[in-house]
Amino acid sequence: MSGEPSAQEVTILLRAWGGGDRQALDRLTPLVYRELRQIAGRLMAGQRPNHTLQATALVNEAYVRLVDAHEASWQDRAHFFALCARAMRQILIDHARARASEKRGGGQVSIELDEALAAAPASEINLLELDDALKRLAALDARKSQVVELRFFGGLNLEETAEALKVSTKTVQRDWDLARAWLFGELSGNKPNG
Amino acid sequence: MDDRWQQVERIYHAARELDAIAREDFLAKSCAGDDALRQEVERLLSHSDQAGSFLESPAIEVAAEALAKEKRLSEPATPALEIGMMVAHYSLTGKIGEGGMGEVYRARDTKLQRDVALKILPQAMAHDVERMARFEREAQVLASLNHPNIAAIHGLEESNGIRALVMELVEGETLAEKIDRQPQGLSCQDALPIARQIAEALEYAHECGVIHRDLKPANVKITPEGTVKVLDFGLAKVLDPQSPSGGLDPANSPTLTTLATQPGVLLGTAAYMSPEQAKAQRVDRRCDIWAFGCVLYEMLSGQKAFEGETISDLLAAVLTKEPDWNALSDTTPPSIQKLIRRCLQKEQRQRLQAIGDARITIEETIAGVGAVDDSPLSPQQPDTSDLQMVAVLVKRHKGKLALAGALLAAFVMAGSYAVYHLSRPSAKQQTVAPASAPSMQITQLTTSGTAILAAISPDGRYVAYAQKDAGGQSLWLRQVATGSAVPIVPPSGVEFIGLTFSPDGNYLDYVQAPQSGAQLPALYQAPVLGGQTRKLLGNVGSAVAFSPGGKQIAFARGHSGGDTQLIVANADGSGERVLASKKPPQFFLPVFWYGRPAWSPDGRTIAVSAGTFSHWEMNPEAFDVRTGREQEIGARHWDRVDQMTWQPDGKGLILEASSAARQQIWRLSYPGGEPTRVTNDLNHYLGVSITADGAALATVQTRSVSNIWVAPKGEWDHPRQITRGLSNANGFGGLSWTAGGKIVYYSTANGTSSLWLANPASDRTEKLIQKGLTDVTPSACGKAGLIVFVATVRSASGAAIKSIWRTNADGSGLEQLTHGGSDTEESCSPDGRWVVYASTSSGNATLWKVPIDGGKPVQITEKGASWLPSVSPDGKWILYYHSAGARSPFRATIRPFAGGKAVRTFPTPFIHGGGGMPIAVAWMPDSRAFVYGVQKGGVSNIVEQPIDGGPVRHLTRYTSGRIFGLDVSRDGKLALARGLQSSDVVLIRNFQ
Repeated sequence: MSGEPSAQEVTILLRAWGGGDRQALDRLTPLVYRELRQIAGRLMAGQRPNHTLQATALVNEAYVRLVDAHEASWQDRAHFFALCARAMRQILIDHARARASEKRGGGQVSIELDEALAAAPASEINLLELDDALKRLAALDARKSQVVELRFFGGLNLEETAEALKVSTKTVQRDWDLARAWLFGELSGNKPNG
Repeated sequence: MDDRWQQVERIYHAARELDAIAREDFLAKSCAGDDALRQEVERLLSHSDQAGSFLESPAIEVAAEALAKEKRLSEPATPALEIGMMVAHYSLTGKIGEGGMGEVYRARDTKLQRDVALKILPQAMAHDVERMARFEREAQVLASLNHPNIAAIHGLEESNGIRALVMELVEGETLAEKIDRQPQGLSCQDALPIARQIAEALEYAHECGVIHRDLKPANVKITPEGTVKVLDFGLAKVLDPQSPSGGLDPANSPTLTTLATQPGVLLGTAAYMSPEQAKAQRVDRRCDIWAFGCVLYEMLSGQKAFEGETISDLLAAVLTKEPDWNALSDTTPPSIQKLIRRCLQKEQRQRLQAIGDARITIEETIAGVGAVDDSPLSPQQPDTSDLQMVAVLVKRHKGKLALAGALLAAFVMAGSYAVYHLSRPSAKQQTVAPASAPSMQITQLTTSGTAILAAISPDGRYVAYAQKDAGGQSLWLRQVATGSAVPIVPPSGVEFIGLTFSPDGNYLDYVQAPQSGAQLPALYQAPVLGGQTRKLLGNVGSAVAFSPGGKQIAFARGHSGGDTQLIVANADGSGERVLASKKPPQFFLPVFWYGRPAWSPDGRTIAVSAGTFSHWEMNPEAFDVRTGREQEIGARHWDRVDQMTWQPDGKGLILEASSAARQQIWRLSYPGGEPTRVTNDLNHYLGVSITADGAALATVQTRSVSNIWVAPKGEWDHPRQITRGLSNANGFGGLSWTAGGKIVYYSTANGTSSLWLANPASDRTEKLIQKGLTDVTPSACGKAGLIVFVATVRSASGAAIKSIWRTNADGSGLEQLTHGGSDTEESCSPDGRWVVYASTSSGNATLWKVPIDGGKPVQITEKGASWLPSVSPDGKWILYYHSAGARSPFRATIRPFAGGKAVRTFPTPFIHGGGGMPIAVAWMPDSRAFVYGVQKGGVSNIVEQPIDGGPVRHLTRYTSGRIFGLDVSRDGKLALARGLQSSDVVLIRNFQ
């Protein structure tokens, strides 16, 4: 387990990343990915009817476990949440994809995580289609796609999203509103021109 | 981003603000000639309408729900067990419960002719050969434990695919039940012998190499003879499928997940988890010592050492928070307090190392030796001198709480409630540009979650704050740099209204009132560095402001005639003079409302907030200190302004005020009166004080979450959550069942206030009214399918006008029913013909009714102050809160709806303005009782008051969460607005 950063180091890395240090991000990503996958898998495995599971609670738990809360500032927290949102998207999409190819009989697919995570495509939102649509949205308007990533995959609220993107909550609200309408059209096969 | 997209976006957002007709016109104009553009915008607008809750639930929840569905289908079914059946040679005679690890039955051993307890192992485990082998090995060790305080394990049986652990049957109640019966905590005489026996059981097991891992009050039984039996020793480990190391993963152990179907149980178990268990690290016997500390704490205080609404909150509490040490009663011997602190050290190495030491301490204390503060515990622990200091202060203070005996003006009580109630969020969004600089820093100082008020010293080194405690409120002085805090006033039955440091920083002036509300608040002065507290003045209705040199003070005061005054006096309380005075319906800061005037740095002007009762609004006003000449600052109309403070350069006022959705910190330029935001978030802020250099301000930040829960008739103890969100105030201002079985509620979801409908059948929510108009207390109108609600609109001059509106259940057919100006708290008569409501338009709070189809309002009550009317389902009675005036307290009152005098009153608690939430009341379907929420230690439960005057009965046993609103359907279903609220002192820097 050598090289595993301590809570304090994670805080410093977050700050470095916030300051534009890409290497810090490279060190943080696998760590957050692993932690989130573990928590997500565990929570979803334990998921039962009537049991509440909240995405923000999950991200908060990762935060409590990984980051030195006494040292961290609000900005550090925002950066961390943004990182989590990206990792959650990756986790959920990876497994939706694995599950989808397994269903098609696509040969040996190693499912590392609880089936839990792979169960996503069974729900009403097709995560793979959403992922594709989000990429198209990113090409059209990068910030709106980020807003969706933070809110839908990261479970962040308006304020937290605003903090992470350094814009006002009003802007986030408007971006979210338009992005949702746009994506809804994309996913319902009702595409606007252009 | 291309230009075309920007154009689409701009037109889209502008169109979203308009109603359908205006939208047509607007689109025609702004897309003139460009049909493609118009089509695209229209398509987006229509998608936005259709999108419903699309993407509103985060992805992880969507995935988790899908999994839960699949799982339910794929689980191996447990063979059905019935009473009378045989499992091996055991005859099942009764079900004891759904215990920690599956079902537990009482059974008769037909061979040995004795009664035993059978624990049926989960199917998933019974079918796992490897796990069963491991389980058998471990069970042998457990079966070898032989101690009078440990429930014995007799063996393991298998029969027809059912595996069962045979255990000693222990009669009696669990410690959890015992604590439940004594919510104030057990006495030391009761608690210590129990604790001693638990310690003996642990000591013996530890010597045998067995760790309990899941010690909690529900696992401790007390026989009728008083013998303690600890249950389920070591089972947490042997039943855990994935953790040979014995680390108890909070959500993965079968102990927990099999119970996750019962809300609260999961948390109930995790609450005793040590920090190392919470982190899923390797555990040793010291995790039992931690749990022992939790149990001992809970026995003596009646409350859990660590609590949280969700697993994550709870984990965070275990890892980062201290228990509320003030909750331990004064009679707890110092040696025991010290022992608990020692057991609850988060670092394993700093914790008590052997449970035998705890047993010795307890035995010595029982024998009277432990009272001497030299118990054999190492010195590395938190300072307990605070506790002793509290005791000293309690004694010292008791004699000095001489209280002013002046009359409490009817206005003051009615007014403070009105102020609070009428000033709750209104929907009108203000369009003031955010002024918060990116570098603004908010630092949280306290973590109790129960802070009320705060003030920062001029040099910024100290913060004084008041907080709620089990026994009332307490006042503390905290050093900002080190975080150490000393009590100024220990927890007692008082309420703090205002805190102010003198300009030289030597004194803290505070205004304090007894909680009973029958006496007026008085001004006290405490030397910051210790010394005698002095009472300076009686009948002081707000926090005081000091003149720049500290020689004079200013404050507001209510008078029995209903007038309120702005008063200037010498700093020692002498030489009072009235600077300005207001007659109803106008007023200065009402009592119990945390207001504070501000004295300008040049000494010439005093600013204070003043309001009008008839058309609700408040504004800062400025008065010349010499002449008393009045001058309005700015033309803004606020809903509420509490505290103000001048910036040192005299060019601006920092104030805490509410308009739009929340109470926020603002800066008002002086004398221009231009408002700019300091904070701009979804929290509430109460109070504001600033350092002499203007660099830092202290305030109390309140974070709230409220969601909608429902429960079927007869199962109110197991409500189901149907809305989600961590920053939403769903149902905060009330909620109501509709005739169609949906719930209409008010919400600030996504930062805007709107009316929403939730459908418990599908867990779907939809926005009923998008914007404008909406305010609080929606109410469904019987079979008519109408919904009535209070809405705020602004008059041409900007004043807030509150009136009753109605709408069809689909949001169409909006119609205004009343035009009084300050009408609120409406509800429908069960026949759907009338809407009853409270109004202050005439100057005092009276009840009215208006026909649902509009018409002339009819007055129901005249004298005194009346609030919160609701008509019984049989249409016979109207229930409301009433105070005859002056010194009579508010009581729940019932009178015939058809007319006539009040027939009965009840001492149902009435929560007035000062930071309390509106009280939630609803009729039971049979019209024979009403229910309401009561709060204790931050947890709300529901009680029932029969209208025949019978005793109050507790209906629920929730262990977490607060209730902000409730309603009962005609068929007995419960709807709750329930969540969390925590308030802590924060420092804000770089805010200019």
